[in-house]
Amino acid sequence: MNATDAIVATAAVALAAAVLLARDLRAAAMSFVAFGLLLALIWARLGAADVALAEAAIGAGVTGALLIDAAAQLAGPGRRGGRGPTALAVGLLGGALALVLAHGAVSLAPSAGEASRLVAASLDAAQIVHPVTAVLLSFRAYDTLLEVGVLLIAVVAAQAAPPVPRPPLHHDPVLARVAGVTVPLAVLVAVYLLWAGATRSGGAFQAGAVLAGALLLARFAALPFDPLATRPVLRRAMLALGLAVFIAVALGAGGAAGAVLAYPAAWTGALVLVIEAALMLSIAASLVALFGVGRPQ
Amino acid sequence: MNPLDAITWLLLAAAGTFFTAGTVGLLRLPDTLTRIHALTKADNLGLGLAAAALMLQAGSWAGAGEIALIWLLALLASATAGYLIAHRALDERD
Amino acid sequence: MAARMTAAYALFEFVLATNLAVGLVRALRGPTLADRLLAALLFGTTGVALLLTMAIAHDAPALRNVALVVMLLALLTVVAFARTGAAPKRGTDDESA
Repeated sequence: MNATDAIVATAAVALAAAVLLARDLRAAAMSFVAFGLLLALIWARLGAADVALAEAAIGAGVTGALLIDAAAQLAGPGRRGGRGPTALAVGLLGGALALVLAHGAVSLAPSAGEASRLVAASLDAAQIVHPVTAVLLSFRAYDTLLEVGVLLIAVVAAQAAPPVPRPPLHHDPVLARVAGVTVPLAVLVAVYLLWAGATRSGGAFQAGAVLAGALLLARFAALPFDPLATRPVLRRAMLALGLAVFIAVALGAGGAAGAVLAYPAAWTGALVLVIEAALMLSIAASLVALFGVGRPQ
Repeated sequence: MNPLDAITWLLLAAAGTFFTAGTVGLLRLPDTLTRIHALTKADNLGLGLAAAALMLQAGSWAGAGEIALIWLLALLASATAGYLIAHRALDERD
Repeated sequence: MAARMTAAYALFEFVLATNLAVGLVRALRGPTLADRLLAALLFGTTGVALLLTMAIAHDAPALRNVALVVMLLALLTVVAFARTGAAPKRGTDDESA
C-alpha cells in the first residue's frame, strides 16, 4: 500500500463519515456519489476492473442519482435524520458489526489465489473466455438467476408505492443539445460493454446501469424520449424479459445439454450473449423504474 | 531516456500543475461563479495534457483513440456541468 | 517499462489523489449546493485522470472503460442535481445572465 492508496482510503472513510453526518440530505447524497467514485478507484487499485465498472455505473452513477432525486423530493435544507437515542443505538450496532467484520477480514488466512486457479483451470470446459463472466453465468449461474428474480421482486414492490407528483421539467436548450449527443453515446457504450463482457471487463450489470444512465439523462434533460414512461407495456416487458429469457435458456438449452443451466458446448457463447442482452434490458428498466413511473405530464 | 518518455514526463508535470491550480482555485476563490472558472478550465487543461501524455504511451491506436474519446467527453461534460452549476448558483444567489 | 516512467506515473497518481482529498474540503464545507456540485465535478475529472494513468501504469486497459463510464455518469449526476428541486426563478434564455 503506497501513499496514493493511503490517501484514497482515508478520503473514502472521511466521505463515509460525511454521508452519515451531513447537515442536509442533498449534501449527504452528494457525498455518497463521491464515496462511490472513491470506492470505484479502490477497486481499480486492487485490480478488480469489473467491480470498479459496476461500482462506477451502479453505485456512484444510478444509485447516486436515485438518492439525489429522493433527497430533492424530501427537500428542505436542515432536514435530516434523528439524532436521538435510536440513532445512537443504531450507530453502536453498526460500529460493533464493523469491528466484527474487520476482525474477520484481518484474521483470514491468505488464500493464495486458490479460487482464481480453479476458475482459470475450468475456463476451457466452460467455453467462456472472461473469468468473471464464466463465474457469473456458468459456474454460479443459479446465483445470478436468483439475483435477477430478487431484483424483479424489488422493482414490483417499489412500483406499488404511489406515484410522486413531479413538476414538469423546463426545457433547457443547452442541456437538450448536449443530451442529444450524450444519450446515444451512452447507449453505444452500454452495448459495447455488453459485447465486451464475453472477453474482458463488462457484462450485463454494467451495461444495464449505463443504459439506465442514458434513459435517465434523457428524462432529466426533458428530451422527448422516455419510452419507459410513455409505454407501460414496453416497461413491463423489459422488466420481465431478463428473468424470462434466463429461465427459458436454463430449461431449454439445459434440456438439450442434460442439466438445468448447462449450455450445449457449441452454443455457449451465443446463449450467454442472449442471456446477458436480456439482462441488460431488464436491469436498465429496473433501475429506471426505481425512480418512479414518471407519468407523462 | 528516450525523447518519448521525456515528453511524457513534461506533459504529466504540466498536467499535475494545472490540476493543482484548479483545486487551489476551488478552495481559495471567493465565490461559486469564480470557482466554476477555475475548475472547468484548469482541470480540463490538466486532463488534456495528461491524456496527451498517456496517448503517447498507450501502445496501440485503439487505446490512444479511447483516451482521446474520453477527453472529448470530459470537455463536453465539464462545459455542460459548468453551465448548469452556474445557473444553479445564480438561482441560489437571488 | 522503464523505472523512470513508473516513477512519473506514481508521482502523478499521488498528485491527483492529493487533489481529490483537498477537493473534499469544498465538498464538505459547501456552503451552497452549487459548491458541492463543483466538488463532484472535480472528483469526476480527477478520478478519470487517475483511472487513465492507472490503466497505463498497471497495464490494465479495462480501466479506460471505467473512466469512460465515470465521465458519462458524472454528467448524469450533475444533471440530476441541477434539475431536481425548485424550477429556476429566471428563464434559461435570459439575456442579462
